[in-house]
Parts: sequence; structure tokens; C-alpha cells
Amino acid sequence: MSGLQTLLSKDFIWRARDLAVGIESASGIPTGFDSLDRLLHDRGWPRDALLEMLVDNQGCGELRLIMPGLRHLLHQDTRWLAWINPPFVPYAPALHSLGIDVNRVLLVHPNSHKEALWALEKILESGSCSAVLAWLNEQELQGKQLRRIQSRAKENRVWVTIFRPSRVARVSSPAEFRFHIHSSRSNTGDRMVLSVLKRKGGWAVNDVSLRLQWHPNALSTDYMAGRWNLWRRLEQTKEITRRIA
Amino acid sequence: MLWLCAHLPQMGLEMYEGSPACRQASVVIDERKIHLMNGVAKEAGIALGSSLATASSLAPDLVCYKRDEQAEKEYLEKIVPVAYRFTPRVSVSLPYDLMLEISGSIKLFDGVDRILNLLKHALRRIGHESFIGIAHTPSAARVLAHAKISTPLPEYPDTETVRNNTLTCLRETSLKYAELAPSDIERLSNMGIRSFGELLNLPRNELGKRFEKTLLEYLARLVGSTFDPQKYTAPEEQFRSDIHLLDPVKDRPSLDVHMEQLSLELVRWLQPRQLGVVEAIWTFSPFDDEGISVPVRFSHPRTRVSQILEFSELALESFDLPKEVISICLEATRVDSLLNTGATHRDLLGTHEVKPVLPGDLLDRLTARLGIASWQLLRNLDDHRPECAWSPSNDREYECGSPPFFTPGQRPLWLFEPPLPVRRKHFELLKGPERIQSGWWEGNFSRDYFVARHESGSLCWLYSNEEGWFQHGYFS
Repeated sequence: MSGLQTLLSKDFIWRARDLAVGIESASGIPTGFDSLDRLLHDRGWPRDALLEMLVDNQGCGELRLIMPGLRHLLHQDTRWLAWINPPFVPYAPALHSLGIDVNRVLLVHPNSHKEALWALEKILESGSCSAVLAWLNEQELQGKQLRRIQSRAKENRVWVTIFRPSRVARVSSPAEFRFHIHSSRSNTGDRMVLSVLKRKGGWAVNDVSLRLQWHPNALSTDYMAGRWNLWRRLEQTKEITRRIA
Repeated sequence: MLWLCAHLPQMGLEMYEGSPACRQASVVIDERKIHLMNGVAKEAGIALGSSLATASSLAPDLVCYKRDEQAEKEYLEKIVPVAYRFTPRVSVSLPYDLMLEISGSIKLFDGVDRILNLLKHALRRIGHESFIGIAHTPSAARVLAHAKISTPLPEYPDTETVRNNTLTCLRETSLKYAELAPSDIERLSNMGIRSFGELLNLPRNELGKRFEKTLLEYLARLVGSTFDPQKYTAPEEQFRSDIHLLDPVKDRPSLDVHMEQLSLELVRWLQPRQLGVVEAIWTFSPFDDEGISVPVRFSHPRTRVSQILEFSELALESFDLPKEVISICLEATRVDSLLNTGATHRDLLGTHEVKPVLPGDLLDRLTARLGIASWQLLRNLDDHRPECAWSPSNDREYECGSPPFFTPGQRPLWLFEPPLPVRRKHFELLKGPERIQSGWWEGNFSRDYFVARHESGSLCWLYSNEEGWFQHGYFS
């Protein structure tokens, strides 16, 4: 019995009822999208895991999807945001308009896949970055390397996002979360549709539609109201527990 | 004045050996006579002053170094920085003595005994056994150090006590430690005068008639009745040090030992100046060829041996070292004051973060292994021209940029550098145009920017000018 209790107290054991109650475990990084928050186990992006973003084309909102979360993370402490092997130049004025502190962005340009992995590992170990975005060479990327990244991310509590093409969706991956962003021929930049291929504490979900913002320098009122309600409910639960005790 | 003399009797040998725990008999010869020897040689029965042939017959595997007085002098000057920790007034006395004037440092170090112990310890750490004499004049301190006599002194001695105690100690000391011509010492000995006490008791006038003037001068310097000026060494302005090896080094571990020694020297040079190293160059030279230079850069001034070594070794990984290294050189090409960095990220009140803390260790690791061009920091610039509104930097003197005051249109998260020529027919224009123009003094362009959709659905940032259509980024 005590063995079961200790097992249940571990972080990695997920119980279905957690998702139903949910509000106590709002430990994730708020994504900025209420409907997405609801799908994620920790009510937001993971603080210490590998996340795969499967996307075929540039320019379908894949960066704007994670920017609110990154902004939240950068506001929390003084750690940095690292970009490993970005395919183009991350444009500072645009990052600024999305609320990212450009002065804490580090770009790393390795010359080979081996160097990229080395740099990624050093960044994770250094403790000076709270999030890493990486574009790795698909030809040379192996499952055991991903597994190592995932375990290092867990150990050092860093949110690592890797951008990969959607053809690897059928290959299994040690990443804790996998998202597939659908590219649409009628993309206007206001909406995006994504599938959650893999998530902690739940089944896959198809076709989640999100409204992207162009200049979300201030969080939207709806979203703030949602977070506020969540927080109030959490406080109420605490109050009730206190009274019962 | 309070003089401290650190006598390093075996320095001539220790400078070659490195580690004192050498299990092989080794000697230093000077004009074919044994000048210095280690403990193993002594056990084998070798005597100082005997010939090399005798010594070789006693110890067949004898390691023999030839004495080089110039090298000894350079070496002694190299270890002077150890003494700068205790006082700025340090002079070198050939062949094997360091002289320190410590009267001003007693209070700082809380007593003479502590200075003495710390100095002994510091010298032992770089591999030297030392004997220390303290007296009120340099000559007397030297005699006491050579005779291995320690003067009993109170914790905070005044000049009078030191003088009296020194003269008491000197009385019993044998004259063979005096810095006099050997012939004079022999003559005095023939007269039955064998200790300093006996010599000092003789009337000076009569002594002056029988001996050269130098004897009287020496005695006056010894007891302190005349001034004995010393030439203080000046610290080196720049750091550069090399190690020339006797046997070429072929493997990395033994190279590391020498690199550590050089780093330690560098740190000893930096510490009293309150400096840190920012750029350094290692040079590894083979016997008959040009050496290979390996530059190491640091994001902020470094002061620790372990850090200097770690980043140097990472930097070495991308270089092919010569197979056999015979000499290693370390030169500090850029140093900086520690006052400019470190704890000064915050303003006076400590409330407002002025500048983000650079992840210095991480950046140095990346620089050392992947090169200085492998990383960039971003900066916003207040400029309306898209390609001038940001700038990369990998300078440690990194300044935060100012964000644009006003951005009228939408800006993409990915920027193309340089813009890519495209065909108009693949794109559908969604928004625009936004006119961006620059003056004749800054490139003179006029472009119409559009938000456009590519056939694949990607949202792109296009512009057209007289040369055609270009893609300048993606709205990701």
C-alpha cells in the first residue's frame, strides 16, 4: 500500500481524475489561448519538457503560437531564450512588438549537427536559459538524441521546442508533446488549425482552431478574464479546504 | 624597516624538476662540479662540490642539469608575483633570495608569524622549499635565512626590539654565512674569529687597518648604522610567459600540466592588479617549426585558473596541435579591470535592472568550442528601414538597443537577409502597400511592402521596387 502511495506521489504518474479537476495543477506556462490551455495537462506549455512542433511551411503562425508563452516565461525571471540554428533571422522589432525582451535572446549558429547537439546540451546544462527553440538536421537526428534532449530538459527544467517536418509524425518520438500545424491554402494569418498528436494526460485531439493575434502586446481581455476566473476558483477551493481542515 | 629574506636553497634544481617528489637522483652542475642536488642524490652519497664523474659512479641513473645563471635570474623574477601579495617592496637578491620589506604589512596580515607562514605556504605551492630570516637590515636578514635561524619576535615588533633580537641571534652565527670574500673569511678564521659576535666586538678602526674597506662597509650595513638601499622590482606591464621543455610533450594530459602552470602564473599576475583576462593566446611550438597559436576569448574578465583552463581546452579541440610540443607560451593580449563588471548590473538603489546579466560561462563555452561567430545577441535599433532596425552583436561590451518608437505596419518574425528575388505570380497580395523610403544619404531606396500569401499558404512579406519583386520575410 505504501509502495502505491509513493508511486502516486511521483510527478510522472498521471491519473485521469487530475485532468477532470485540473485547476490545482495550473503549473504550466499560459499559452495565451484559452482553448489550448484547456487541452494541456498543466494548463499551459510545459516548463521542463521537449515539445515537437511539426510544420511543413514557414509562415503559418508557428512562432506566433508560442510567443505569448515565451513572453510569459521571460517576464518571470532573468533567464534567456535561445534559438539554435534558426532558418532565417529572428526579426527583433517583430519580437519586440510581441512583447519578447529582445535583449535576452541568444542565437546560436552551429556548423554541424554534432555541434548543434553539443550547443543544445550546454545551453540546457548552463541554467541560464529558460526556453530553447531548435531546428535540427532531420537526416542526422536520431531517436536516442531526442531522448537525451528530453531527459536533459527535464533535469534542468527548460522548455525545449523542436521544429520538424510533418512527415515524421508516424515515427515515434520521446517528446512529451507533439503538435501538428496544418497549413491552409486560404491562410490570412488570423487563424490557425492544429492537431495535438501527443500530450501528457490525454488522447490526441484533432483540428483545434485558434485565433492568432498580430500585436498581442497586451493580453486579450477574454483571455485575461478566463485566467482570472481560473485563479478565483483555485483560491475558493483553497479556502474550502482550509475550512474543512 | 623590517626585512624578510626568503632563501630558496634548492631553487636552481627545483626550477627544472617541477615536482619535489622526484624519485630519481638529480643534480645541477656548475663548472663540472656538483652545485645542487636532491634528496635521492644525497642518499646515494654524492657530496656538493664533487665532480660529475664521481657522482655518476655513485648514482648511475643520475639526471644532470647544467646551471644557467641567466635562466635562474629570469626564473627568480618570475616568482616575484608570489611576494607582491604581501608587500609592494620586493627585491631580488641573486642567486636564490627574495627580499621583502614588510613593516607596512604586519597589521594587515595580523602579525609577523602569519606573513611568514603564508609566504612559506605560497612558495611550497609552486614547488619551493624556503627558509626565512627576519631582521632590521637586508644583509642581516640574508645571513639569518642562510643560517636557517629564526629570530624570536613578538607579534607586532618595533624597530628597537627587532634590532636587539637580530644582534643577539647574529652573535652565535658562524661567519661562513657572511657575504665577504672567501679569503677574508679564512683570514678571520685563522685569527680565531669564527662568529659574527666575535667580529662585531673588535674595534672598527683597527679592523679597517688590517682589512679592505668593504669589510667595514658590510658590517655597517649589517648592523644598520648605514643605509642599504635596495632596488625594488617593478611588476611587468604585460603578461607573457613560456615554458621550454627538455623533453617534447606528445600527449594531452602532460600538456595540461604545463598549461595549468602557465594559467597559474597568469592568475598570479592578474590578482594584485585587480584585473581579469579577456583575451589570451596560447602558442604551442614544435622543435623545428612555427608554433600554432590558439586564441581564447572570454565574455567578461576571468580570474580563475579552472575557468581559464576549461575554456582553453575547449578552444584547443578545434586545432591540430603539433605532434611534439617543445615550448608552450601564454600571452594575455587583453585584460580588463574587475571593477567594470561583475556585481555592477544593478543601479545604485538596486531596484532597477539596468542590463540583463550575460550568461558569460555559456557564451565562453560556445566561443571556445564553436568560434566567436557561432553566437549572436539581438538588438533593436530605432530606424524605419527594415534591415537597419535590428543588429546582431557578439561583443561582451554589449549595450541594449532602444526599441523602435513607432512601428506602423506589420513586421514578420522571420527576416530574409538579404531579400530573395521572387516571381509575383506565385503570390496573392492580401494587404498593402506600405511605402518605406530612405533618404539619399542612407542608401536611397523606395519600396512598397505587401503582406502576401504564397501558393502553399505561407504568409510572406513582399516588396516591389524598380528591380522587381522580393521576399523579405515570413509571418510565422
